[in-house]
Amino acid sequence: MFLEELGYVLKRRRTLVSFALLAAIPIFLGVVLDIVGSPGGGHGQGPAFFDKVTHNGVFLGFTAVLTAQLIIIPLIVSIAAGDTIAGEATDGKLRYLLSAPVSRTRLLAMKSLVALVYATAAALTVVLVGLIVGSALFPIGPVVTLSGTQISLLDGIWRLLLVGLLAAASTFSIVAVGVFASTLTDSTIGAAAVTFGAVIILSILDGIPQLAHIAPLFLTHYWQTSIDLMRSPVVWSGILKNLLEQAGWMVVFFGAAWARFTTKDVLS
Amino acid sequence: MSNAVSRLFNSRFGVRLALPAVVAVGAVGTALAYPQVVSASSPTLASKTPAQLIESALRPTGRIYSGTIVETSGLGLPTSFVNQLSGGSASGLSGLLTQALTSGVTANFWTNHASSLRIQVPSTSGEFDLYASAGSVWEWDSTTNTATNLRLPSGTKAVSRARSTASTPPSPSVIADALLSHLPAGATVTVNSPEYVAGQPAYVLNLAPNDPSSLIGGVRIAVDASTGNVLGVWITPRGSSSAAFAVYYSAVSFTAPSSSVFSFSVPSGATVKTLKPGAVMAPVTRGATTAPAVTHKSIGTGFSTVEVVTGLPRRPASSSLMSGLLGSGTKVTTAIGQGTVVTTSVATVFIGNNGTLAFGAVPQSVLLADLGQG
Amino acid sequence: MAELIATSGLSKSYGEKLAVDSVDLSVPEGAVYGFLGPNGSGKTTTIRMLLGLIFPTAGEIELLGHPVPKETTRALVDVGAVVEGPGLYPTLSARRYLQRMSRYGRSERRRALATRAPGDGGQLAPDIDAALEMVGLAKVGNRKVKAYSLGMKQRLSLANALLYPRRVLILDEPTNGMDPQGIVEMRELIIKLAAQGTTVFVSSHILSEIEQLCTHVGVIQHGRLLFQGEIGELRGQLPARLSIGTSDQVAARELLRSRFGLQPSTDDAGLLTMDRASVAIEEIASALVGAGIGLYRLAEDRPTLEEAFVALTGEASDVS
Repeated sequence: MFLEELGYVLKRRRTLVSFALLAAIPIFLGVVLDIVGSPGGGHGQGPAFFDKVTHNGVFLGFTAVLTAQLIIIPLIVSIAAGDTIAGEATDGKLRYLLSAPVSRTRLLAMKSLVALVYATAAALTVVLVGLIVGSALFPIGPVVTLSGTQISLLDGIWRLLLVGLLAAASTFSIVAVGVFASTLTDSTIGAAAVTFGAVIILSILDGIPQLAHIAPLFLTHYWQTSIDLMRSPVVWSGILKNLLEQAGWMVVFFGAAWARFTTKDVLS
Repeated sequence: MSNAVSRLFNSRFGVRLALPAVVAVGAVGTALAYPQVVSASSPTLASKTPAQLIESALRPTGRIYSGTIVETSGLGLPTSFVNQLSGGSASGLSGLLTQALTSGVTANFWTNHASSLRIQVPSTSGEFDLYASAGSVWEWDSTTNTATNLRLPSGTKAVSRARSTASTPPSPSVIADALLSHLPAGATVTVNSPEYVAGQPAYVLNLAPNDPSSLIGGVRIAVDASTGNVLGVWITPRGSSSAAFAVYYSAVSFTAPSSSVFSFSVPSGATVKTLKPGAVMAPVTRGATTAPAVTHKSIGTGFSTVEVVTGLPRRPASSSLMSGLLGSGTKVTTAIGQGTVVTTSVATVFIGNNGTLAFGAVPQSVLLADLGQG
Repeated sequence: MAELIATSGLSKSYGEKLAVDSVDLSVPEGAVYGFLGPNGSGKTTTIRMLLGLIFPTAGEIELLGHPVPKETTRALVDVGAVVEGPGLYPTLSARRYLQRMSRYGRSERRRALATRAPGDGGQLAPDIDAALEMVGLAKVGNRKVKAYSLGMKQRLSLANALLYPRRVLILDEPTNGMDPQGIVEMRELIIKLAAQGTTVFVSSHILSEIEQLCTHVGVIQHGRLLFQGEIGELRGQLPARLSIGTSDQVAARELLRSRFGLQPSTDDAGLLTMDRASVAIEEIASALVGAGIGLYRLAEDRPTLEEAFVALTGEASDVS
């Protein structure tokens, strides 16, 4: 059932378009930097590591994923999560899935798992395409951390991968919110819009000083801590807080989705 | 509405929703209440007298090798001054200084208490580092990709002094030592109920100035119960409940760090700058040689002491900091001449046009009156 | 005979509106049960509750001996269903659709089969080809569903219900959107499956469609089950009618009234019609002939299902 669902989701045209869009980010950034060259001055303008890409192609992966993490990946993940249940409910497909001897809890768990895998694949696509394009267009070599120390190319790629996985994990809360929204409606677009809207609103509220004391509860609050992997030594506290944050949102919203879906009258 | 709510909770959905709802309330509650709970949960410690605490704070038994220092500042500096500060370069040391004065800085540090110190100030987009070891001091700024070498001539007294200074981070203990060893007689010293600071059970000393003319309402000093290290200092203005200035650890470790955290070599592609000690000292030395003899005296006692320095260069260093400070103050005429007064929530500073500098934790009126007496 | 579907006091309300009101269904094993009622009478709501898709407000359901919704999953292993029109993936082919559906609930199916004695029915592997063959889609099985007509989509839904040998088929308006040819084929298929021992629960708002294949009937209207039983019993709800044609209808009427206490009326064709009562037909015949009245017609008319239905519900069956 899981493989069936994964195969079904990955082969959809919507998925292909989404992943093409994700792959376009590092390609676009890389080509622009290749033509225009590194921004002068290098005063940390633009996305993180943007000014380092032309010196070391590995940084294209970092720049691309840290950029995509803010809007594009949450958007694509919102759509995928919003589609999980609502997508089946449109056109009355859900009643046939549930007429198979499958428990609702298992169906929900499996759909959610596929959405989590999808989110991970989305982030890793940006990372891998960034790495490939970066190494094709620019020289690659040992990586300089934010602390000014040098780590081997292999270590750099490993950390890039971890940053990608953290970017993925940062969207797991979105998956949970999206799956819950998806159990409330028969409209994929509605569920996705509510989810993405919530993410955007939270990230705006996150920047308001008056809300600083509740901001740590926002699912977006620790997103930028994945950059701490590029310090020497790695600063783990923020990363762990992010993971805890994501886990908390997952428990609450997957729990709510479960409560809703297992008691819902399937009318569509 | 209430009908809908009651229906929800009579329904199966409502019953099942109870589980995640409880988790949500628990998580939110924990997250919001955690700081309060931790500060409210008082560790149980054998009671000590203020004198015992001061004694142990001045002679700690264990050494802090690494951790995180949090500095917060709500001094209430004049807005025009703050704007001028932040208008300047936001990177590097001067940027950090601005940040420290206006809002706060959080830094990680490592030391081996012998020759090496590393300070790391992470920001969302980059990092500022200080690597100090064996006579070479590197300043690294990732946002400008610049490594600056502070080269110290070897074999001089300055080097050994610089080394010993460099191996000690600017910690709460520096401030606490200054406060405790010159403990003003005019303060009431009490021991508050213990708290957790940086996860350690700590005694809390409370210094309350007796002189009502002092701007300072109280100073709290947290002393690690097991080692005697000062874990934090909070300075609260009179009439306020929140600290205007605080330095404390949010994490500490008592084990020596790996030597790898201290090593730094200029990464390829970085801009390298060298700062000779002469260049660092130049403004100070020049000022010292051209100025008439500098004198210093204290007026008053305790927390309301006003320090007066005379004979400074007529036109103080034309840094943006100083011109910003002058621009933001009020022009006054005092018994000892014209000048500018800058006030913050815990201190007042007078900069005289004739090379006089006076400052103290007192309101402007008291400062100016003291100047008139002096 | 065991009951494969049984409900007691089954009710469902949406807010103030009672969609299904204390329905006690009883579907014996081997039956072809016609669930009759006009649109909006509660048929689909009842079927959704049987399948665990919606939750009853009150009452109990047993499907294949398993309480629903508590053990819906275990019951559904042996149930094939078509619920209120097809629910298909437009971009998938019929074959791919059936493959996808067969992968749902596979482990539940395996678990259920593991507890059964060998030869006790049920199989793990779906028979996609056979299912497509049965509904007549074998030749177009690789075509994308969006190119299908509504009738073909309905057949594909039925194929999904037939992926495995089932003990119970629950079919909600399976002929909706089908052409007359399709309806005939559907009827033949149901008869064939019933002959193989499958219990079929089929709903319809068109009496004539299921009249010829049902052994049992339940009639629902405004959420209430008005009648349930063998199809002969539904006919028996109305008394048989006699129609009599003679050479002298006036004399015949008088004789029937005085000798047998019957109350004949005259129909459009001039025949005398009356409820049969408990009079032996041969006695009427000999009495009329004995009185010298020429008898050219004496017939006992069994009431049609339609007549019984109208008598029961007060409306014609094919009201959509």
